[in-house]
Amino acid sequence: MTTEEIACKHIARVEGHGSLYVTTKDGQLVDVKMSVDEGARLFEAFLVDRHYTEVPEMACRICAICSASHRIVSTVAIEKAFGIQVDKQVTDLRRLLIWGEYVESHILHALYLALPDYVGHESVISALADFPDVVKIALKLKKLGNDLQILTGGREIHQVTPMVGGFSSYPTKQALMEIKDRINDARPDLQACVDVWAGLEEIPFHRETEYLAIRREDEYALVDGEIATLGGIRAPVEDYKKFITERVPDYSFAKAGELNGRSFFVGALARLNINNDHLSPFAKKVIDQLGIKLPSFNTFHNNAAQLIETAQVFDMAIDTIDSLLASDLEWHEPEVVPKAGVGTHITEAPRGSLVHSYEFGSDGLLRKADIIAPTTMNYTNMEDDVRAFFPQIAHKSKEEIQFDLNRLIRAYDPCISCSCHMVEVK
Amino acid sequence: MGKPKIGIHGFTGCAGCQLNILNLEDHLLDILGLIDITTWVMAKSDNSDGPWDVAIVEGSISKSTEIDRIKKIREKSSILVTIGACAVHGGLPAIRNFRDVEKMKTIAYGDKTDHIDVIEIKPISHYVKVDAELPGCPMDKMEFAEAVKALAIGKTPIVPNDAVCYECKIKENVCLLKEGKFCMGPVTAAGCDALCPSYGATCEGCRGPVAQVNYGAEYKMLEKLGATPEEIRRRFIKYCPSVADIPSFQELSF
Repeated sequence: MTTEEIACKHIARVEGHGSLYVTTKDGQLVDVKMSVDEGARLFEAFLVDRHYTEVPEMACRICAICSASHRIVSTVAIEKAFGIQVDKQVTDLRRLLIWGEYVESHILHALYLALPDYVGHESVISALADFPDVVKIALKLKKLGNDLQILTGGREIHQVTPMVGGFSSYPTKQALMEIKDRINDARPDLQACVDVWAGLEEIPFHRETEYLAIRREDEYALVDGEIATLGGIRAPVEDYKKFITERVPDYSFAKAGELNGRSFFVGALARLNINNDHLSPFAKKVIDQLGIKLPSFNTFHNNAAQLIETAQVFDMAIDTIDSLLASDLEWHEPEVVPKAGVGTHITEAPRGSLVHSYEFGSDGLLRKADIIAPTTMNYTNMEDDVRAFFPQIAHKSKEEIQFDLNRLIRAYDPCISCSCHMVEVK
Repeated sequence: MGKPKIGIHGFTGCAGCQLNILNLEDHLLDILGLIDITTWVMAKSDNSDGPWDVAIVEGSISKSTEIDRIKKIREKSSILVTIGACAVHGGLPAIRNFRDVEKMKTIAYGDKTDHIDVIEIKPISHYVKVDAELPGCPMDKMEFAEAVKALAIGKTPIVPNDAVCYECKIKENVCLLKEGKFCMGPVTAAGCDALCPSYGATCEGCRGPVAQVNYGAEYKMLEKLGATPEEIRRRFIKYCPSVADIPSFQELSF
């Protein structure tokens, strides 16, 4: 009997610090441990006793790559606690900010972080020598996503304009018209990236796990909706605790998300599986070209799903800009009166469902915060996927196994610094 | 002279300063032409263990094992540059230095917290010699580009020494303090081109104290605008809790 540990230390090309440890006995997998090496920042604790005006600004610092999602879900949770309604201009500007985040984040992950593996490179920097055109197009698309975030939020990451009740300033109609043209002009660029992806060799994998996302009956839900699963659960967001639990695995103190006691997947592939009846024309064209049949139970399709969703938000951004251009777009100072209450909101960050749930006092200070990030939810699913995937690669060399496992974890686009609930595994 | 070997190292944080390097879209390829990045776990699979001509360090030292790690990086690097509020001043997580950490651990992780390695957060300069600091939450990407240009020709990057108010005046922004808003511009180091006030949002002090900072004067000004001592303290100890070591802060009574 030979026991061997295959360690994928410091999984590269992901956001944050994590490692994967797989133990085998005579070539059979006996144990999987996903470990998070990120130090604890204690966000949910230091947000306590902070004023509502600064909570979204601080909470968005949980993660830079999905800071816009953290910022807006935090803001909406506070507005729900205070019973504040915002007007359509504010909602549209928030949506446009999030569409920018989607373009930037999905392009960054699919083309900069995930793609190099598929074309025999260790990074986008080394890929530059062989694929200069793709890298340059990807840079241009990423910049477009960031410019949408700058236009609405003031900065690419850790935006400055969003406030409870509205914004500190609005973009001009002129700037909106200019960026609308840029989005339409960039369609061939995105198409070129899809063409590259369509030529890649597909990695076969199939595990019928559960998928969770928010859902709406009137559009492809990304910022607002009810809890939905592929298995048929429908529930208001306030009920998230009835379904999503955090388990303490017996091998560690790490907290890991479960849905009714089982692993589940959140992210682009979950949204596609659940909400594909609302795909836009451009997204439909891309999914047809990539030949992905839904529902898909192949985790590796998550990267292709990110490109499909990028096409989706291209179309949604045009609609949102048209809606803003049809409004008066006259800025007004947000009016907010804090009151004691509880507010829960779930949004879809690019890498999956994101919960912020708060309790506030009438003094406007936060009493209690519960934040569940996508990677926390995906934690159990990652381990179960490794178990299911391992037999497929068990015959390979240790280096090849490490390469494949890294690629599987990376397909999730994990955001490890986000998962503030995770603890280092000893 | 060959291209300088650069190691980009992330400690505990949101990875936003590293992301802001990638956000230099228009200049990224030019910068990559100037330097040889031999270590960058966030963006590369093949990473060297050093040595580096320049180490660029993001994030805070928030657990005990990170102290050894930063010391080793220092030993293997000719120049060490810290980027972002977490590395330069402690960042938001350092708010815990002023609270009951055991209670905070329970809030975030429940009952089983013995194994959670949490230490008081100090600036990286507390542990090792730092050659240059690029503050801000996140660091300003153009300031980073300028710093790389300077380092590539063997110069130390220059960081502005004025208050955010100075940049606000140049941009002819309306003063937010005059509008009764609790702005931190007068006590905060410039270099961000007064980004937040230019969008009508108050300066939150993310770049840390300006040289010869006068916290007493800011305290009086905010008090006059109706801020309570607790509100003022919250604003002062936010992104840069290391300000608690500054004499003009210690003289204040909260």
